[in-house]
Amino acid sequence: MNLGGKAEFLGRVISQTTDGQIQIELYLRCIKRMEDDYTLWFHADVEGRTTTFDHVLPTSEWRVGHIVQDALVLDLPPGRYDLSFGLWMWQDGRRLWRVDNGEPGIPLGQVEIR
Amino acid sequence: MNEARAQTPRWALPLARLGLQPWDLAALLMCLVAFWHGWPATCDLAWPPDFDLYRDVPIAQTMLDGGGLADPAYPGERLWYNPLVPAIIAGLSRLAGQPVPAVYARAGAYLNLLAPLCFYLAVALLFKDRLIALASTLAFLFVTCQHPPSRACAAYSPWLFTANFTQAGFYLTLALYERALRRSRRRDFLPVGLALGLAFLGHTAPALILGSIVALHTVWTALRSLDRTLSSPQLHESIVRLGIITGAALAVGAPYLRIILCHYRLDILNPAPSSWIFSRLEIENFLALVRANLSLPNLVALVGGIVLLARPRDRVAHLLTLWLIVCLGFIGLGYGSQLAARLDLPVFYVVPSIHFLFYLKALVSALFGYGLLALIRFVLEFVKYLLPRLHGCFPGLLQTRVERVALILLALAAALWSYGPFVRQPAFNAVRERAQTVVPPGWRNAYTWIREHTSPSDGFLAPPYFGLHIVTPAGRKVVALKPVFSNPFIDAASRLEHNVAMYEYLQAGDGERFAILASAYEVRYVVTIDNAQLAAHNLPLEPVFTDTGVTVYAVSRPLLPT
Repeated sequence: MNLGGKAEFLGRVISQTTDGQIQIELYLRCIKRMEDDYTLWFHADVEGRTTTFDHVLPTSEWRVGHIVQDALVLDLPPGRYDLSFGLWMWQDGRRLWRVDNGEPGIPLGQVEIR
Repeated sequence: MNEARAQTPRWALPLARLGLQPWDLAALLMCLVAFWHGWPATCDLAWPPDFDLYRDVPIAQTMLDGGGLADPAYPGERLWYNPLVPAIIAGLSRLAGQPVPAVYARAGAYLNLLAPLCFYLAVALLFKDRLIALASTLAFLFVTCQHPPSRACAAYSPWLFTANFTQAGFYLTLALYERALRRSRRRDFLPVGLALGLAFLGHTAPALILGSIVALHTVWTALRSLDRTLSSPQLHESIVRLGIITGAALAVGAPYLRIILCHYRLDILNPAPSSWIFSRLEIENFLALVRANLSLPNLVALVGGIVLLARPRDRVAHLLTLWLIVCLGFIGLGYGSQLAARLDLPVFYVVPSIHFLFYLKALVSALFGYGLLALIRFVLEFVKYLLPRLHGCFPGLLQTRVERVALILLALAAALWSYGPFVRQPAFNAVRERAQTVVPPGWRNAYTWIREHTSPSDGFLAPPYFGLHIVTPAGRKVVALKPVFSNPFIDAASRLEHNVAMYEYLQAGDGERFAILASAYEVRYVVTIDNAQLAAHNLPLEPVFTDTGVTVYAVSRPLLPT
């Protein structure tokens, strides 16, 4: 899946850490040089509530063809969560929209935290 | 003309009719002597011996497979290395119907004969004396370079290292430039530019040296004309000539220049190919390098250089001085870069310094004949000074003949003295042995299987050493090569990291992570060597080829994420 013609989502791995927390690994490939450092927004939705795990990625340093692995650990109360992520500039609201359907983010499926 | 013909011995008349002199034949004969030792070292080989050649084989194979100027290792990338020699080999491979690795292993013995022949031609044109050229060619073939690896020394080599072959273009371009300057006609500068462009398509180092010589000579000429008047026609003419040379060189070099300047914008992400340092050129070994070069041939060349410098208005002296200055300058830049890297300062690498040492050795050979003649003249004058009664015995013509006989005898003696080490040099022996064993039989069979059962777009996860020797020579893509053989405009370190990570995932049975990276790098096959074990379960792999020490697995496509 292509984000704004600048990054390609390659896949994700969901695993459990040794202390029982859920870890998400995201794999992205840079397909066009970016001038700004985009923020990766990561949403975990449950029963109408959204928990966000945002962090800035050094996307301006990514080179075309670069494959980047980003990992985050979800520190969440128990529940079944819908996960999704995308890239945006929080400073001015610009987003890297999905090229295939114009959506702002990519769904990563569900995860159950007990 | 008739007078010259009258002086020519009858046996040499057929040569004279072709514009040749006996010395030309002697130079050719000496080249054949070198070939006589080079040919048996390579004539029956199927694989080349050296890493550098395994960098070049895939380029030729990719061209043959219709990939043009594509990076032979990484999908979607462009060729980063000078394409001329691989293009010649691709053509020869098609003509001969032989596999590219075999042609790369064998063709050097023949093609590299161009280097001493062009060297002879250039020295003869520069010094306007074919006997000096013959003496220098003897030094070039047998004396100046004794033991270093072929690519470190300008001489005849049976191995098709880019540097060894493309030196022919350097000598030819320099000779053309001197001729153009002598004739002083604009149209003579066009072939100089064309040859310079061709030299660049062959190798960057000779083009850099030649370009610098031409530019510096133009500046020097311009400055000289500025002494007289700011609007000197000579200044205008120098700029026009430089424009002709530059325009023609850029036009010929355009296919390769377009890639590195326009596509990659010289944005180097992997400095390893240009920052590689020949051990003898490391700062620590500087004194050892100087000591190793305190040799008799170098001393003779030094005498030649000093005598030339005494002719400051001489064009050839000026060109050869620029040759020296440019090579020393680039070698100095190499030392400066090493120093800067150690002090954590920004470093700009051009091409490895070894190539400039190479052309410095070529200059030594070029000056050898002239220096030897200067020494002979000095000795004769000294003898005449000691024995005044000999004055009357040496009229001009006789003295010239004595000098020339002494020159050829001494040059032959030097060649004979060096003949033993020449014959025993690693290029004819140890390197041949390496060529015979570098690719084990199981790997050769893997090469054949890959050629027959996979397509040029297929990607392989392979250990970098196997990727360099088998997968890319077979014209297939890999995840990573060692940085020194990898595209400098691609982040080789990150590819290498993922190469390692994918093997770790496979050993751990982590098909999920493997599949993501395998898909990203378009991996269709996985190679294991030396009986490396992969986890037996949970992997999307199926063995499709196995032989001694190597197994190839196909990646099951349905298991890759879509």
